[in-house]
Amino acid sequence: MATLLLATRKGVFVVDRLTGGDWGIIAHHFQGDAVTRVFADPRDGAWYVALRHGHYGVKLQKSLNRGASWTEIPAPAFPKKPEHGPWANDETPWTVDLVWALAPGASNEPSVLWAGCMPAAVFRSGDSGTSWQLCESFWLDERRRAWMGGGNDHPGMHSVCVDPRDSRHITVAISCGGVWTTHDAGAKWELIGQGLEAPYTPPDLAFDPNVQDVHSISACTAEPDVIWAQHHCGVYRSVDGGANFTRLPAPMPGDFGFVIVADPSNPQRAWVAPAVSDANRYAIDGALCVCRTDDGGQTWQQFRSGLPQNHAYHLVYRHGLALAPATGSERVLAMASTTGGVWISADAGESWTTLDASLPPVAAVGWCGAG
Amino acid sequence: MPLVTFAPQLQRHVPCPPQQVPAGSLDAVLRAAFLAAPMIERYVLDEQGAVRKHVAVFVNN
Repeated sequence: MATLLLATRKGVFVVDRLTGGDWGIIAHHFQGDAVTRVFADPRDGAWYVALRHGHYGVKLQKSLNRGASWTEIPAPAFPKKPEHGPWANDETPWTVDLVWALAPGASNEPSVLWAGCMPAAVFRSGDSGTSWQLCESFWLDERRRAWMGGGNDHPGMHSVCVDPRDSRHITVAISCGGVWTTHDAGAKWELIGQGLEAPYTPPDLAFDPNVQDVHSISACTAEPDVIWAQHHCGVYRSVDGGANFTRLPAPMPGDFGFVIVADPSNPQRAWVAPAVSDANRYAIDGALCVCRTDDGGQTWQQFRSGLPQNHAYHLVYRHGLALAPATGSERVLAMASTTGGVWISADAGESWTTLDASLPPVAAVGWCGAG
Repeated sequence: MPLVTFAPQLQRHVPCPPQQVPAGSLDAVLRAAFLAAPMIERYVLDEQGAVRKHVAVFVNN
């Protein structure tokens, strides 16, 4: 039985099946603290929590016993900013403001973790979070000077996808800095993502891969070359590992949103949570829905059963929709919003049950397997 | 000798009782105080060694 972790503005909530089968909150950790990401490592069962203290900065906590106790571990941190040379006048602060992505290395690297941060940078840990190393070649790439923060002060890396076939092949995405990949565990990085379009930029920049505001990417585990992208200006799919993206027909009722989730075994299937584009950012017409494609994005079904349909101004963030560890054809999803709504679907998103409607704003949801 | 105390809200995360440390610059006094609770340094200073944006240090109050 999988357990659900909710990263909220006021701590981590642990959700599990209660006696009788209903879902319910069984624990609350880090009460009152802002949590930006939760991650349960499927390899060893460790739980990681990324905190963002308003006064005291970014911290990481780790539990080896499903939350019974926690230990603070080092958070990713930049080296000293140089006082001379080309980066001395860097306008981007060399201070980690947000841990936005946590991902496990491949199964043959059981102690490797990857972290994506704001300002946009990627860190690697080779010792299960005991220490972190900045991928300097990425951080010191001159092309990052053209990145933007979008709605944030600085660009941020929110998506890190490790190729299950090759632990040295990592693909990441940045708002607003496009999609990048490495084939040598981070020594060299390549800007990919041809075909993505930012029509709000000057015409000569619209298709520049380096300026794209990719809100999230998600790769199919069974066919990792299939990568889905929820972009600021539409939904895209790649069949060549992100080298090229094709814009998909817009899901009804719209193709703005933040989250996209790939099915792990079916490369034709993905889920999105549409929202009003792009300044208003709430459920379209105040009615929340989830859209799913089963044909590679050519058509979309929208599902509303069990979701609020009247004056519901929820927004689902980049990590606010997640699939439970799959067992066979069963697909259990959890979704949570900026206004504290949490819903669970046991039928691949077609109908939903409300877990709670008044939790703190939810930044991310994460599943972990049975303990 | 200066007496260094950390706000109760900070000690919620890292216990660090009041302590007397040798006189010196603010940097030296803080670093001496961090010796008793090394974890507290990253709560007060960022990785560039600057006092965090929303942390205030009061001297002679």
